[in-house]
Amino acid sequence: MMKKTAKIMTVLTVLAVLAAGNAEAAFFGTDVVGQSAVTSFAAMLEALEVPPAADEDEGVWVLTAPDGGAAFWWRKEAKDARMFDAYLSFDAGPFVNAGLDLSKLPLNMKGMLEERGKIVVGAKLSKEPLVYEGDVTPLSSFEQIVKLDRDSVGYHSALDHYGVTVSEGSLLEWAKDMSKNDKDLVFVLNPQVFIDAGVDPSKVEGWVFDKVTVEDARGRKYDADKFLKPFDLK
Amino acid sequence: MTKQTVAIGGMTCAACAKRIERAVGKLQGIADATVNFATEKLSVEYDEGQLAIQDIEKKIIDVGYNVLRESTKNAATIPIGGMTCAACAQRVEKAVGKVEGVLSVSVNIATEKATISYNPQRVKLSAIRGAIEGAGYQALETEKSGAVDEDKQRKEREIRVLKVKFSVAAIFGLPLLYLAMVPMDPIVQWLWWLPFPSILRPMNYPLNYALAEIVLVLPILVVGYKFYTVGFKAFFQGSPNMDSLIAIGTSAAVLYSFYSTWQITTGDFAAVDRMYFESAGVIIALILLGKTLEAISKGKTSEAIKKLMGLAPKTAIVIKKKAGEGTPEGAASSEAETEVEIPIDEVEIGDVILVKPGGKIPVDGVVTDGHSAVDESMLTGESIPLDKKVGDKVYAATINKNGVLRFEATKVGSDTALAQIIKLVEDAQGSKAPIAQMADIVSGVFVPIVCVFAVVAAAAWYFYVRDVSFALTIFISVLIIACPCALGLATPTAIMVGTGKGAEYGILFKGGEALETTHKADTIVFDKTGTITEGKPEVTDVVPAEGVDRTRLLRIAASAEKGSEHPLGEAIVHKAEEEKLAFLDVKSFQALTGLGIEAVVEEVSGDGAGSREPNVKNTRLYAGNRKLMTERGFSLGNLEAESDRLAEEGKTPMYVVFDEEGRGPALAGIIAVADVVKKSSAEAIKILRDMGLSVAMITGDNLKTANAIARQVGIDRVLAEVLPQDKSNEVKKLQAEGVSMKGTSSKGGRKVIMVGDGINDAPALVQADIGIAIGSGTDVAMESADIVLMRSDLMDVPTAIQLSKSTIRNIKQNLFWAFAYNTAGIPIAAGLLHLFGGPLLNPILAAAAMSLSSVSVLSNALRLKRFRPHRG
Repeated sequence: MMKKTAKIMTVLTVLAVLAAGNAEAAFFGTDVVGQSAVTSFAAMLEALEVPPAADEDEGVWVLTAPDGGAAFWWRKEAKDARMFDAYLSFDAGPFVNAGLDLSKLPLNMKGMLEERGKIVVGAKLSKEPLVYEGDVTPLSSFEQIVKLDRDSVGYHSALDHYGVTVSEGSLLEWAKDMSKNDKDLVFVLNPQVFIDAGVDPSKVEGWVFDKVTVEDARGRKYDADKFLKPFDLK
Repeated sequence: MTKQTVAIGGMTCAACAKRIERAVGKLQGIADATVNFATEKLSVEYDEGQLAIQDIEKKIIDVGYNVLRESTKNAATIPIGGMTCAACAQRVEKAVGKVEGVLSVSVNIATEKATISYNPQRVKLSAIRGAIEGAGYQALETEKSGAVDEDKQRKEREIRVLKVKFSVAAIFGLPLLYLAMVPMDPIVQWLWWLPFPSILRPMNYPLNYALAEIVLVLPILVVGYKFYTVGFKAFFQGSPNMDSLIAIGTSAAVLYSFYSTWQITTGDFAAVDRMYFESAGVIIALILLGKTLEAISKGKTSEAIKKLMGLAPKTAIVIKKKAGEGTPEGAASSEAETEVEIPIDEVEIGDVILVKPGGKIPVDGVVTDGHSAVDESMLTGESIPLDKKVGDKVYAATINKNGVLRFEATKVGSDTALAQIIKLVEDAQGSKAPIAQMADIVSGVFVPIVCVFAVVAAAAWYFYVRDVSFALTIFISVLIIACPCALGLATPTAIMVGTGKGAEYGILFKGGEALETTHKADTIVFDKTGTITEGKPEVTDVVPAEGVDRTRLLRIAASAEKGSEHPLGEAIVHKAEEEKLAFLDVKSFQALTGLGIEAVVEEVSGDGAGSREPNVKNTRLYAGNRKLMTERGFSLGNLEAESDRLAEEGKTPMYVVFDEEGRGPALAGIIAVADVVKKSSAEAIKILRDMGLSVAMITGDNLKTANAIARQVGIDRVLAEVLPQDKSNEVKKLQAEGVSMKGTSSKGGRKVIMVGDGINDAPALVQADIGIAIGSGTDVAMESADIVLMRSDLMDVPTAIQLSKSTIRNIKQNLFWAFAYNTAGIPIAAGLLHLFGGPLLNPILAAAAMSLSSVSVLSNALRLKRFRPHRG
């Protein structure tokens, strides 16, 4: 009796699992966030008035914020030659005006400072070469990044966003479904390094200083201070 | 009407017990059906003309429970001589298999042995041996067999299975809990040092996370399948029980989590926050833990009865005569006898049994040869071994200390004193106390109400916060925390431990009601003779009237009293024997109830030598108490002062009147009899008075004697010169008194305990709220009593009352905690605290609390095992 019931229970549960996951998820992969992040990134790129441009000198793609005050850069060239594979750049001016002592910033944030007046936060995602099977496009390069360092891409439930982390607490986020979101593209900075360097966070122009619910490496949710630069692309 | 007990499997809470009671109670012909959840037994009284036990068993099965056959089967291996081939083995198997009561038989031709399983209540091993012999083979000496206690094995198996199930649930439940709680709950952040795989991060890999939870919860659901099969069956049959609550609660959690998993696959990754697999898994694990601890604790509550059962030896040495070697007179010479060790079940009435020094007496019997001291402490609590000689009774399970005893078995199997005691304790443990009624009523309606309440609370919260997850949390928490297991266990477990503890002290409560009522008593009435006193009175004074010879007075009185069974009469007979007086013929004898005796004694004077005929004179004699003298109009004459003196000394004057031919009745003298007060009487009565009880003594003896005894033991209220038939009336009058000894008005009058030993006490024992029969008493007294003391020590009376008080206090504590737990737990689970900004009860914590409540009630009941009587 027990064996029979146990069998029935097992079969029913397995059936329920199969019913719960769609066929693709069940048989071809369970990384639904990874897959969906790429799709929605493509939708976001489509919605940009100014599409990402290639910077052949740097071997990267550049997505410039509609206000021009920030940009997201990601690796385009196949070989591994750069310090960062993905990074955010933004004007130093608003931060300097809010009290930033540039000498207190880490050296790796000042790579564009002298030449372009911009501060950089970025991440080396992988030493592996990018392997393209078709055209090299902003999306195919982004797909490679997801493939090389899947952990850098995640879902942010509080804003219904996906995001790619470029440094601890700093990331580029985009809406999962732009039709249901008024923040389709958001540049997110971890403010701590700036506050430590003398910035009064409430005085940084062009950036919103706010608390955002985020999750740590173990998935625990908590509220964290962030500089946000959101855009509605519609 | 027939009374029977049926062991039931599959009950999980008091609601199950109530359900079975209701279902069986509805059957035509059922007079009474009571289910004890703690013992898992149904006591049923039914009309055999209207239905059979099979009908009752079928009903139990129909409502979703198992009927456990409580047969005890024995196994025996009998070497067989004379077998030559496989056909012989088959022939023996066939012959033995046909014997009624044989459950299985297997004959191995190689070893030449038959392995037999049989029901000892239906067939004796001798009959099986007879069948082998009848088939033409020799049944050689039976090899040692072991009795298999199926009930014990079943319970041990149940604990083993529960342990395995819990282990599986824990092995999968802990990682499930870790997986679920670490990302969610800051409480478990101290587990930061444990690895958390990045591919299971809920927001990065929600489907991985969900599938991992499913993989972990699946084995837990499988081991907990019984909650679903039993719970849903009961629910759909309209009688939800504890399993229903668990099944509904965890099913809701699992189904909703599957829905959330499906939502993840459709792109709603936030659904990962709405998964409750861990709730379902951990709830089942915790409840399995609770059930395991409960099963272990339940076993401990019946340890006392197991101890009693373990007292009986497994074998007996029976003296068998070798065929053809007896003497012509039939007396067995020592050479003609053999000692055969046989299983205890094989001993039959009339068997002569040998018990060597240090051996246990296997069955009840009467000593036919030998002399020894026997330790009966296991039955009576009396630590001093008693001397046993030819003609004395011996009892099963007592220990023969030093000599070799032979005795004839008079009571075997379920008729032995030990078996009767075990039955009495078992019956008491299976019975319900009135205090359990409230718990029964509540648990009967509790589960359906909780189901409705859970739906209402969840719906209300849904409309308030518009959050399905939140409403579901409320729904599950209410269902899980409300399981009424603790309520169902509160009373029967305490009664089991209490009655078991009583048995250890030699105090046998005949039921839960007796155990409960005893503590309410405010008045206690003791019979005098044999209860307060030893009941072995001795003649202290023989005072003849003027002109009457002392020896003649004693001889005639003793001759007449020889027909009396009254202890006072026996004392007079004993005195005459001591003085080596010859007894006279008694022509007629009549006992005058409550007064004394009337007899005609034939006196022969002269020896008839020569031509003279012996002179035969018939003397009518009356011997008895003062009431007899008054009723018959006999004058005390000048012995009245002497009579008063004797009575004031605590002696009982027996007035002897001779009614001789031609003289008319006249007082011939007084024979004073005194009964020694038991050593412990005064101390016991002091303890009872200290406990606040009003103590009285009732006796047929005269007031002066009664007062003298009462003074010795510290009793201030004496009901003297009460006829046996009036004793119950006196008890009734006491019960009608509306004032307790503390002077406060007692609404229902006094609650009276009557303590007695004699046949004449039986009506009073029945009339009293509680009747206590003392161990040396008659069978009638013990039948009539609610409590039987196995010893004659009155110290056991305060012990019985104290035990009753402790047990009832324990039951009240259990009920309080069970009710408090549910009363407080349900509103918290329903989100009452949350409504005012407080925390919300996690379903897992609800399950932990629920399991803890049952375990705490059981642990509290087990505290009773530490009961020790207070001695002043």
